[in-house]
Amino acid sequence: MSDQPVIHTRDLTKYFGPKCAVNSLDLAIPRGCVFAFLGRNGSGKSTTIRMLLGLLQPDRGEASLLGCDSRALTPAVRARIGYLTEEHQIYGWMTVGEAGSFQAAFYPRWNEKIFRGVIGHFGLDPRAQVKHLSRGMRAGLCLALTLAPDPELLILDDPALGLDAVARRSLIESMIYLTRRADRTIFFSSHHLADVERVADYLAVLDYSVLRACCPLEIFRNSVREVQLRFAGAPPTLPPIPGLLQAFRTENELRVTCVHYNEETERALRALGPLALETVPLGLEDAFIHYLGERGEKSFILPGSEASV
Amino acid sequence: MSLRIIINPGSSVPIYKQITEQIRMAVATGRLTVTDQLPSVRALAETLVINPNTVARAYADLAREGVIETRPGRGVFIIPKRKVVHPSEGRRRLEPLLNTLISEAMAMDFTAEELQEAFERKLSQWKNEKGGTHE
Amino acid sequence: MRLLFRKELREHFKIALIGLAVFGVMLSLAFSRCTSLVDHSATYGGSFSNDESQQPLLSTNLLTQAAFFCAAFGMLLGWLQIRAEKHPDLWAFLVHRPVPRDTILAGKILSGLLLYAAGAGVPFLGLVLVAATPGHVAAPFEWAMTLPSLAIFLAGISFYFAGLLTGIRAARWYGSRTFGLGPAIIAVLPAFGVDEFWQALLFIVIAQALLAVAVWGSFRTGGHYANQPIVSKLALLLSCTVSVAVLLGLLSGGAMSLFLSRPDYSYTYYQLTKDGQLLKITRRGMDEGSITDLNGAPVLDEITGQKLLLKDLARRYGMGMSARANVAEDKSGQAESRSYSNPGRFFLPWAVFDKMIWYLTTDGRLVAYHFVNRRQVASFLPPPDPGETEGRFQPPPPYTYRTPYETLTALPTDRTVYAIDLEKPEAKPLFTTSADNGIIGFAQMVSRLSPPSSNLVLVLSRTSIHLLNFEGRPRLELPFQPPPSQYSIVSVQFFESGGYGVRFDPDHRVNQKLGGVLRSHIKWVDANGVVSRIMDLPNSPEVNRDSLWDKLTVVFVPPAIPVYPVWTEYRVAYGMRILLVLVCVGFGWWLGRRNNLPRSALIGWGLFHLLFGVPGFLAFLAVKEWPPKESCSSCQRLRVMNLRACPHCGSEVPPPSKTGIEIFETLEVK
Repeated sequence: MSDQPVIHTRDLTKYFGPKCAVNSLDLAIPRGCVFAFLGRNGSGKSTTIRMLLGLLQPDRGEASLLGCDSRALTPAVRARIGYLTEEHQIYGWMTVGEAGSFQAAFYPRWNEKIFRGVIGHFGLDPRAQVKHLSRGMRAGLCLALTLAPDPELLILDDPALGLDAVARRSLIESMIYLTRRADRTIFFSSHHLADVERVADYLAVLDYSVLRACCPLEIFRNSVREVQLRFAGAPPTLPPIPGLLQAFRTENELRVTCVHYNEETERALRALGPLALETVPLGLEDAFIHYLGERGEKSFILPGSEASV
Repeated sequence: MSLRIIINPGSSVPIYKQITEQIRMAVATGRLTVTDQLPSVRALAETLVINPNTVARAYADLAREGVIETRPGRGVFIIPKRKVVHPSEGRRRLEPLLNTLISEAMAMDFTAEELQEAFERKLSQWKNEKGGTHE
Repeated sequence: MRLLFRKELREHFKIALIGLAVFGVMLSLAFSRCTSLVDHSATYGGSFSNDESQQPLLSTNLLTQAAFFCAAFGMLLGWLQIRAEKHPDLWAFLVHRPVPRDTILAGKILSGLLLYAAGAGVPFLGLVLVAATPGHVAAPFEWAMTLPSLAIFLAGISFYFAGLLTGIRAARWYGSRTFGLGPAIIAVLPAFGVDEFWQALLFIVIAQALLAVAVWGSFRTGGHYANQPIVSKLALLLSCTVSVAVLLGLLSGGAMSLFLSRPDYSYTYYQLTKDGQLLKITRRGMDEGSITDLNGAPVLDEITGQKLLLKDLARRYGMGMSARANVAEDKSGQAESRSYSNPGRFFLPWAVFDKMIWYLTTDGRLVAYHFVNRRQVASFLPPPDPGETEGRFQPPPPYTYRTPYETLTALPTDRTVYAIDLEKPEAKPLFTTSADNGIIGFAQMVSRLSPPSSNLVLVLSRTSIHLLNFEGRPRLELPFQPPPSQYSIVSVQFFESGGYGVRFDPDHRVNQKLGGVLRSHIKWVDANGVVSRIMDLPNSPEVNRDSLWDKLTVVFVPPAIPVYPVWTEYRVAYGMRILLVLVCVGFGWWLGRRNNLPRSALIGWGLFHLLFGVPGFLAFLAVKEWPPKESCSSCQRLRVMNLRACPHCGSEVPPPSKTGIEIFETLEVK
C-alpha cells in the first residue's frame, strides 16, 4: 500500500476542440515527496490537475489518486485530498470564520488548531468578509481551509499566483511544515522557480501538452548546461548537436545551452575551433528558461549589419 | 549558535552545496568548533524555509567528509577533522580555488611576489587567530 | 447536507425576497384591476367579459401574468443557483469535498424549491386568503377555484429545473442551453386549457421528472454530455427534442404567417333568412367568400343588384334562439365540460342592478353579491320539484350569453321552467314536464323593454320542443325529431311571416363516432305550428384537408407521436416524413461511424432517430459531444483520438515525438 504511487496517470490525454491540451501523460508520483509540476502558461498544467481531481473528463487514458480512479473519487478519498486553486475562490459573502465552520463540518479530521494557526499567521480577522480580503489574505484563508482537514495528498494549482513576497513565504513555510509527516505528499504547479528550488524534491516539465522531463531537481539542473565558446572572429555556424536547446551568438562569442552534455557534445563543439570553451553551471530558473524557451539560435545582431544568422 | 547560513536559491550553486560550503567555511574560520551542535535537519529546514531533504543531503555530504557526525537521540555535532579526503582528491578540489585566486590577482596587476607575500601574511594571521595547526 | 442547504439559502434569499415583493405587487394590481372593472361595469354598464372575471382567482389576465412571473422567476432562480459557481475554481470548491455529488445537488434543489415557494407561493397564498375572506371579492368563492393558481405555481417549478439545466449545460452554442425550456413551456400551457386539474398536474409532473433527471445527470458531470448515466442522457435528449419541436412549430407558424397571404382553411355553412330562404356561405379565412343558394347560384343583393356581400347579409337575418340539449343523466356534468380554470365552471354572472350582482352558480342557486361591501347579500332558490326535497336550478349551460342588466329572467329546474323577477324576488312557474321527461335544454330571449308577450323561452325536453312566452302561453310545440340522443343543438329562426325555421344539428362527438353520417335537419313550420317542409342539409366538410400547417406538422412531427391522419391529401406529407426520418437515421449512422461509436450506440441512435425524427435529430446534433479527431500517423486517415488503436489500420497512437531534450529518471519511493 505504501509503495503505490499516490498520483498515477497513464496515457492521460485531453483535447479542447482540435487542439491537444494534454498529450499522453504518464506520471507516477511516490508518497511522501514534494513534486513540482512546471510548464509555461497554457501548457496543460491546470487541465491535468482538473483531470486528476475528476473535475474534467479525459478524452483518453486514466488517472488515479490514492489508488482511486479519478473519474469516480469516493467521498472517503476526497476527504484525504486537499485542493488549492490558483484563483483562491470562496463565496464572497461568507466571513472567514463562517468559511471555517462551513468546511469543518464536512471533514472528519478537521484540525481547528491548524486552521486558527494559518489564519493567525496571515493576520486574518474571523469576522472579515471574504469579498473584502486582498488576494494574499484570501490565499491564506484558502490555505487554512485546505490544510486544516489534515490531507494526505495536497494538490496546489499555482498557489502563489498574484501573492506578494510575504504571502508567498508563508505559503512555502506551510508546505514545509506539512513535510513533517513522511506520508504526506505535495503536488504543486508554480511559476516561481526560486520557490520550487527551495521546496521540491522532484519536478516534471510539461512542454505544451507533452511531458519532457520528470526527475529529481538536481538531475534536471545538472542535465542542462551552458557552454561558452570564444572565437577570434565571428563564430561559425553551429552544426546540429543532440540535445541542443538554444544558441546565442555575439560578435566573437557563442553561448550554447544543451541537455545531457557529454564527451561527444564536447568534441563536436571543440571541432568548431574555439579559442576557449567553458561550461557554466546554471541555476534552476535559468535552466528552466533555457529548457522551455524558444529553440534554435538567437542573436542581437541585426540582419544586414554583420554576418549573422 | 552564532552561525547564520544564508542561502540564495537563484544562484548557479545548488542549495545543498551552499549549505556545505558555508558550514565548512565556518569550521575553517573557527566560527564553529568541535563539539558545537548544529540544528537538526528539520529545524534548519524550517529556519531556512527549504526542503528538509536538501538539508539532509548537505549533512550527509558533510558527514561523509568527516566534518560532522549525527549522534542518535542527541543531535548533529562538529567533529575533529579526520583525514578522509585523499590528497589527490584534496588537490583536485584546490585547483579551481587556486585558479580563481591567481587569475583575480593578475587581473589586478599583482606581481607573483606581491601575491606570495599577501598569501604568507594571511596564513600567519590565521595561524595566530586559531592558535593551532590546520592541516 | 443541511449545511449546503443553509448556505444556498443564505446565498440566494435576496432574490426570493425580491420575487416575493414583485409578485405581490403584480398580484395586487391584477386583483384590484379585476375588482375595479367589476365596479366600473356594475356602475356604468358594460359587458362582463370572461377575461376579466369577477373572481380574480379565475381571471385569465391575472393567471396569465402569474404564469409569466412564475416561469421567469423559476427560471431565474434555477439559473442563478448554478451560475453562483460559474468560476471553475469556485465550482471545484463546492464539488471537491467528501460528500457525494448527488447530495450537493439535493441541497441546491431543496433550497431552491423553498426559495421558489417563498417568492412565488407566498403571494399566491396571500391572494387566496384575500379571496377566501368574505368582503373582498363580489363573487362566489369555492376552494376548487384555487386550483388554477396551484397549477401555475407548480408549473413554475418546471422552469426552475429548466433554469438549472440552462445554467449547467456546457454547450458549444449558448442558445442550445435554453433547450430545457421546451418541456417547461409545454407544461404550463395545459394549466389553462385542460378540463381537469389532474390533467394539468400530469403534464407538469412529467415535464418536471424529465427535466429533473436531465439536471441530475448534467450536474454529475459538470455539464458535459459524455459521461452521464443513460437515463439522464435520454431525459436531456427528450427535453431538447421537445424544445426543438416547439421551436420548429413557432418558426414554421411565423414563416407561414409572413409568407402565406391567403389563409389555408375554408369552411361552409348554411343560414336561414327571415323570409325562409336557405343560403349557403363559403368562406376562406377572412375573405369575402361566396353566398349562394342551394343550387350554387349566387344570391343577389336586392338593393344593389350585385352579388350579396357578407356585410349586408346581416340585414336578411331575423331573430333566433338556440338551445343545446344535454342528455347526460347527471346534470352537473354540463359544468364539467368546461376547463377547471374557467369561471363558467362555477358561476355565471346573471344580472346586475341596484349595486348588486346576481350569479347563477353551478349548484343551482341564484346568489347576489353587493359590489360595495363585496359580501353575499341574497340567495334565491326555486321551489322543489315534486319528489325532491330541495329546489335547485339547472346549472348554466355552456357558452350562454346573457345581457346582465335584465332583472327579468327565466330559469329551469329539472322539470319546471320559472319566470323570475329578481327585483322582488319572486318566481312564477311557466311550464312543467312529466316525471320521466326532464328538461334537457333551455334558452331565453328576454327584455324588459319589450312587451311581455315577446319575451320568449325555448325549452327542450326529452321528447319535444316548446316555445313559450312569459305568460306561459305556448307558441310552438314540436316533437324532438331527430332524437336528442344524436342531435343536440336546436335553433329556432323567426320568419317575418310569423312562421319558424327549426334546425337540428347533430352532436359533434356522436357524429364523429358514427363517421360523420348525421346531417343537419331543418323543418319549416308555419304560424299555426304545422310543418310545411323538411330538408336534410348536405354534409359540409368539417375538417379542411388542405391546410399547409397540418401538412407541415405531419412532415416534421416525430414518428413516435401518433399523428396519422388517414386522408389521401396527406400522402405527400407522409412520404416526406418517412424520407426525412430515413435521412436522419442515415446521417446519424454516418456520423456515428465516423466517430467510431460502438455498435450498441449506433443501434441506439438509429432507434432514437426512427422514433423522434427531425426534432430528435436536431436535438442530437445540439447535445452530442464528439471525440477529437486527427489523421492517423500510419494510414493518414481521419481517426478518433479517444481510442488507443486506430479503427482503420489498428496501429496504436504513437507516443509524443521526442525532440532529444527529454530528461527522465525513475523517482525513488521513500
